[in-house]
Amino acid sequence: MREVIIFYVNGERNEIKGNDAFLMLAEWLRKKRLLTGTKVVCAEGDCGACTVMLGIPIASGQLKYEPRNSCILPLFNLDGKHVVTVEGLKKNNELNPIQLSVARHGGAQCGYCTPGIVMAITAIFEQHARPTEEQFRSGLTGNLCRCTGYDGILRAALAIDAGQVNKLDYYWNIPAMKSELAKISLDPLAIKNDNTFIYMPTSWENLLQTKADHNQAVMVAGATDIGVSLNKGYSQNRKFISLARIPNIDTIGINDDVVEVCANVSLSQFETFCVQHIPSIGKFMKFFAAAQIKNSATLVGNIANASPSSDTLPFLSVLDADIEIVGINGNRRLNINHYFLDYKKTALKADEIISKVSFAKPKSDAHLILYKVSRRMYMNIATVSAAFLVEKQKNMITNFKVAFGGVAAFVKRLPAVEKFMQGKEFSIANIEHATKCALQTYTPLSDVRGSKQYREMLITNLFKKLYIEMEANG
Amino acid sequence: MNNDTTIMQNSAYAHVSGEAIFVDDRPVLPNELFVDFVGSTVALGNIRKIDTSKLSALSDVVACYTAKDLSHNLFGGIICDAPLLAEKQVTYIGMPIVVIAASDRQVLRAAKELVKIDIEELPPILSIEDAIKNNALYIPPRKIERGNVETAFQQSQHVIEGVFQCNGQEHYYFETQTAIAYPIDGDCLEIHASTQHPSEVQHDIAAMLGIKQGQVVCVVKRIGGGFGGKETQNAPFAQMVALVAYKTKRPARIVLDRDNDILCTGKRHPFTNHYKVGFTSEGRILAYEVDLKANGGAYADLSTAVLERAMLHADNAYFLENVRITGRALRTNLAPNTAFRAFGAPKGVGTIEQAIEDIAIFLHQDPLVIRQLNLYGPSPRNITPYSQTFCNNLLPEIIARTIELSQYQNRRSAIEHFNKNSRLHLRGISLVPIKFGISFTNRTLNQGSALVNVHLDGSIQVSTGAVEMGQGVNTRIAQAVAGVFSVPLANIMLMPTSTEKNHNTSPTAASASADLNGNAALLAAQRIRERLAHCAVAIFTGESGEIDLVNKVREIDTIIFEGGRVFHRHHPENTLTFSELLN
Repeated sequence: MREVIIFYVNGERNEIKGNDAFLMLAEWLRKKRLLTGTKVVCAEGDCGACTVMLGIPIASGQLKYEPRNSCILPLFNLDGKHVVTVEGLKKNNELNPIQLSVARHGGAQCGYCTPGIVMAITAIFEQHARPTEEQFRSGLTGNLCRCTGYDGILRAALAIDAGQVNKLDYYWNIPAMKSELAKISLDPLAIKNDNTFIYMPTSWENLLQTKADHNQAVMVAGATDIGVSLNKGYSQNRKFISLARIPNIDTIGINDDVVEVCANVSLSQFETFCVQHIPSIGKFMKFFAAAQIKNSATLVGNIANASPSSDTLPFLSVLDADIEIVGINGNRRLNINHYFLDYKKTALKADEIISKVSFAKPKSDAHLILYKVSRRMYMNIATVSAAFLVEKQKNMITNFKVAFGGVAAFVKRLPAVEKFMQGKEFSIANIEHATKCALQTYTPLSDVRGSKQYREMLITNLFKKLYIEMEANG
Repeated sequence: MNNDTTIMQNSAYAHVSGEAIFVDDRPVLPNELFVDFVGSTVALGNIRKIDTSKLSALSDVVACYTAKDLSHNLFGGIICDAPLLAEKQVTYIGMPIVVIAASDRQVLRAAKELVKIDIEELPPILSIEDAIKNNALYIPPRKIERGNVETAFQQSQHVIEGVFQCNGQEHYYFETQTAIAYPIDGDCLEIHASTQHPSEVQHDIAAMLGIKQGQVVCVVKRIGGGFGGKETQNAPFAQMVALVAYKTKRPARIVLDRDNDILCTGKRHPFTNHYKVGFTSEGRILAYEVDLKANGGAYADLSTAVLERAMLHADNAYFLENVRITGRALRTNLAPNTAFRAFGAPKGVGTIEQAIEDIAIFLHQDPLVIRQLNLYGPSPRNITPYSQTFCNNLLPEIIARTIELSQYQNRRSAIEHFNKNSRLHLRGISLVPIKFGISFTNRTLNQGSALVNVHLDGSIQVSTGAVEMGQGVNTRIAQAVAGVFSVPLANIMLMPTSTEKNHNTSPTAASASADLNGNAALLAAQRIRERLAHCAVAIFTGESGEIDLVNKVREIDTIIFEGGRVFHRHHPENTLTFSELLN
């Protein structure tokens, strides 16, 4: 059992012990390493000023680089990885083509967001050899800028000569580093201090025993929610168990039209899978968050977290997803609609862990229609989100399922509406009746994102929009 | 647009490499203290007791201060009414009460929880309506009036009344309010602050500590966005670190966390403006009356100036023959609202534009037609309500050209067609003129400051009263100075704004800093060039550069600075490089 965290920053090896393991990477870079190019602006993974590239060992022995928000990335999650910061982009003390273009085309004004912008563009080139404007736009959704209005940034990105851009492996091709990272990245790891710990067991048996031994410990994957809680002081609990090193739980697949998503599947992996297999969800995932977050966060983490405004829970709810739960006292399977009990309260017991979520892929003639209303399109928490699953023959509804998020303490289906719509004609009159019925079921909450009345109007309009869109599409 | 003449922002390479240094990028010194404050949890209340006794349990807490520790505790550029630290009364949520300094940042966080403040909560005034009911005014109501408004309303064929409302807005400058104070030689302080107004930081610190202004230097290399939010509102935090550094003789740093910054600093002013407009059946405005009400928050800050600018923009681009503009800056229990890009003007402009939309809807017209009909024009339609003659008015021509070049009418028809056939989306198009006042309404602030140092190798350092915050002021000033000496732009180094070089400066604000400080730099550079030309005259002609009264030509004007070289007009074959001349 290793008790020290090992990772590299711009090619330099670091060992971390004790409570430092719980520091966020951005803070550690800035204060302990004086690498101050990485900025902290929001400290909640929203603005991208802290973006770094994370090199993760893959089967070939190479490193795969992905963008991450370093402000909510605890050091313990870096074990066996290579961090490249903005300071690590120069080669032979010369700016690279991405940096030169951002400088020369007005991509930087006050300069505070700029290192993050440069890193985000770097990430886009890791993924696409010749990025399109759409790929630049999409890859920059996780980076805010208050000065430029984004035009200069986009202009700079489009002016980059893709042929001149080298991938990060060109800058940081250090065989000794790669071989060490490949060797250690699956070690069992435990950091134990007086009031804090992180365990990274390598077998289910150990994992379940550890969870049973430490009821108060929080399961952690990408730490995107935990990072925010710690930064903002919402939580001081630094007792974590990670399932990052359990073998074979980063797989997603489809068998007999049943989709299975294991606990460590990131939202990025899930999105890529859905784009291919379930386009309605694939398209929707684009709005969920930016690459920095989606590379870290997991679908199962999203379920475990049980946020009432989650973007994924409404569609999992109408698809009647099954949650696989494992524990020291046995395994069970639970329909997601029986899993939520109250605000962030679930049926999961203290010694239980979610290992997997599975759901039947919607039939080819079924319409899975997903909506999200938020103050801005990307990177925002929904004021109201909705999932509709509709099947009809000619104009008669044979199956109607609906769930709303952002309206109540947890994501809820609307059985009364579903029952009413079953076997009915798909008409505006019936949709209006269903809306009335929905508003009787829900008493939407009032909060910073919208009043009760506003949410009622959104619910009404989303039903109407469903009707208009389905009518237009036959 | 990018072409060969485009000049890069002069920090651009430092920005993209991460090497550009902002305040909190400065390394923490071994004896440095971290500073934060405990603020009010209520919007209005009387402080019964401040209990900091539990702090002694934390050995890393080095100091804590309250209002009693200050030599002076009332500040404000226009109206001096804002305490740095609340003593008897708290008047907004987040209002600082106790300043704490600790040698460890985690401990500082814990320490804030240990300070107990007992406050008798009182019902606050939060809205404009409540402030009006309580007559909570900063200054007597302001008024600008011309013509006979009552008669003009009677003569109007139509009269419409309405309300324009606009809520607050957070600046969200990327770099939060930040400052570091270094004690120098015992009694002096060097402050590095993220401020648009280094002189105010310097002056407020000296006043608070009861020391001389000359003992304080405020240095600003660059700031990570300001947008008005750091014109007056960085000073309190710079004062806090100055207090700690002065008393403890240790460097002290404050970096507001984002949540606290949003909580306790002022925002754009919410306004509620009632208006009444009288017009003809063609849509020509005969009478306009508007009453602007600004929610100023708990202290005056810049609210009276923001209100005045809103009033001075109530006409926007339209001639108003009979007009009455009244305004009130109201005191409420929000964090003191402050400067924000455009400084009140959008509230005046937005109100009359809403009135114009009302007229257009009423007359079933395109609002653009109403706008064109009411634009400022030739005499007598060229005098503003505040009696300024509107010269060089190109608006009618600009709008006509824009309509033509943008194919406005075609676009408008296409949109109407789209809207008729779309059930889920609506489109729109609008063409709105704007007349905006550049520079400060307080005219004494319209002055610049610059120091130009020419070094023997030909490199030139320039520092001015303008703070670089991404607007590119340093780049413009570097261009101006390079032009004077005809040397490459790379020879010009823009140095930090510092109150020991540029003192008694205006804030970097009002869209005028490059013009004001750039002209100061230009004057300074020209004066140095003149002196150099005297030397050049002596070198090239063997004479001293006196005025040649016979030819009415100053000899120094015969010295040409061109392409990095210097020569005499009459002896162009004989040249010196710029640095040869200097040596």
